[in-house]
Amino acid sequence: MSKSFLNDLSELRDVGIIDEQTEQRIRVYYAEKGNESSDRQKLILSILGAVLIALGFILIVSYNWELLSQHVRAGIILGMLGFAQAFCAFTLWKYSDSVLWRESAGAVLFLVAGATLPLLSSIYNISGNPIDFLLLWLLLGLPIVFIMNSTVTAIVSIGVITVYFAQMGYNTTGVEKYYPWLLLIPVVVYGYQQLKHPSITMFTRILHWFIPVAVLIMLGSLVSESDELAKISYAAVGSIFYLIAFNQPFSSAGRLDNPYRITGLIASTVLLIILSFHSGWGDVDFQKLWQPIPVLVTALLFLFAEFLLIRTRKSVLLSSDPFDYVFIVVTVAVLLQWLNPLLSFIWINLFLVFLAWKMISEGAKKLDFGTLNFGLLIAVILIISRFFDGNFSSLTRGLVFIALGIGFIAANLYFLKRKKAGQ
Amino acid sequence: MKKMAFGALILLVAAQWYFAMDIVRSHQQIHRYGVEVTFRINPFWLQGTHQNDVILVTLAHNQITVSDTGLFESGMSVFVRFEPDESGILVPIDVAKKRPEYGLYLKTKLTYVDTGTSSVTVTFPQLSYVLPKHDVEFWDIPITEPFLEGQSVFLAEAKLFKGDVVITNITIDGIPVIEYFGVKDETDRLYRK
Repeated sequence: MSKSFLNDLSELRDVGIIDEQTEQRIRVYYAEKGNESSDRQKLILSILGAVLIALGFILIVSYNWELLSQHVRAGIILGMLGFAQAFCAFTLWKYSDSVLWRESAGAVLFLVAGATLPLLSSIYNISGNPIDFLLLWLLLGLPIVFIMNSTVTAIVSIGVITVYFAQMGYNTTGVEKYYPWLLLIPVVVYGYQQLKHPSITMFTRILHWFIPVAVLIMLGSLVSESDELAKISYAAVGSIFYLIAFNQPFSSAGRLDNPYRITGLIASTVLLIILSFHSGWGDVDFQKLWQPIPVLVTALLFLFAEFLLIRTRKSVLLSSDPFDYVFIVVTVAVLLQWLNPLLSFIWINLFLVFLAWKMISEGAKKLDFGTLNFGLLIAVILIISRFFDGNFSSLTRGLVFIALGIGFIAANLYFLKRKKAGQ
Repeated sequence: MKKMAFGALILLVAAQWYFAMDIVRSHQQIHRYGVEVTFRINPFWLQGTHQNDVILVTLAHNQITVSDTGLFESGMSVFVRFEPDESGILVPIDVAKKRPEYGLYLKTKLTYVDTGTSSVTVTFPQLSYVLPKHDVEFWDIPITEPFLEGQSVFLAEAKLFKGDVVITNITIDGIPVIEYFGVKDETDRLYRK
């Protein structure tokens, strides 16, 4: 808060706008808020400092690395591991209540434990599989999240889990393909527990950006065998994220500060635009459809989305916000695909037109430029996308693109004028 | 709660030390009990790179004929068994889903199953070779006929024990890699017919 505002408080009290008690309450509020902000800065700088010291140490050692014998090099690496472990033990013993100590110690041990294994392997020239290494790192690192109660470690873990998944690829078969999910579940549980605290920290908010993104990246591995089930699953996950955004504690967050709202909106919109293409709807392959795990995953996601819809909006099927029931729309499209794929194509396009119209009209009514432009963007993408389904000349495409651009700017200018006139 | 966290940390510390020391133990076991073998590796060159201390190589022969392709699917982890050919170079002979109890083998990932040719394609792990101390100034492409025509034979001598491997030497057309690519000064380039 600016100092000038606090200086003005005495003046506001003198002229009788606020009383003395209110003035005191405002001063105490901003003093506490200021402390909170300085604690946060201290925390970030400490973690950054710990990481920089560790990196500096590694650079100094690496400068003379080749001159050292194999055993001395191994000793240094194992010494680093011992130091990081001792740092965690000391933190638990002396400073278990300090967020700063717990976060720093947890992050350092997680990174050092991960560095120890490949460094030792390279010292002793033992070749290994990067997938096995990442799995071992996660197995040895994930418990740190809970032992040290460290959200930074949870964030880094999600990054490593995603890299582990990417290394495995979508086509991994057997029980191994569930490993990234089994590793992600404890982190999600940890993230959920952190939401129960009275004040949500910045790291918890960052963690809840990482969780939905990781889920969206990894979901394909569970349902990739069947295109139809994948469509429903992605739509259900998009709706689940969107509906979570309207539940506590996210409902009180700002629109752009709400990870589940943003990821839900983007996931649902991108999915609908992909499905609006004619090529996205072919004949149903029944042989691929009846696979136990994808069917189970899709059913559970659908039911959970429905549960959230009822809980959040007190509605079974439709609500005033079309993003709430994207999963139902996509499920209907998949059912229509059995009758005729063309029906699904038309159905999704009609829904996208409705979605764009709804957002534009709501944005115009409330003079909310974010909603208005999002609706316009959907409409524009929808029109451009249809060019790829049809065979239009470059001239026609060019003219329509220019018209769309002019329409976009004109709509914004018109509503800006209206907003100014209203003010 | 604090006691529980301490207990869990002690268990974790023990696990982290166990796996770290296991790498040291594997290294000692390979050197003590490992079988000396030779692999054919994929060609590489070092020109343009910095003076590397570690060379990463991949094994050749990654397509292996199997008796029943129905047992395998892409993405699964498998064990490739090797046997030496008449010149003593290891060639893959079989693929197993379970770790073999004896013999020479490597753990790898199956990337493709070709039912037409009854074969599978695997991705062998990248193997690293730490160069011994040397006085080479920079790496260069040797002007030899086999190298320029892609006929050079790249071999890796290694020690193999229970699926773990350590490369002990790399030769190209029978010449150690440092001698083959390394140039001490401009007049020292490898011109050979």
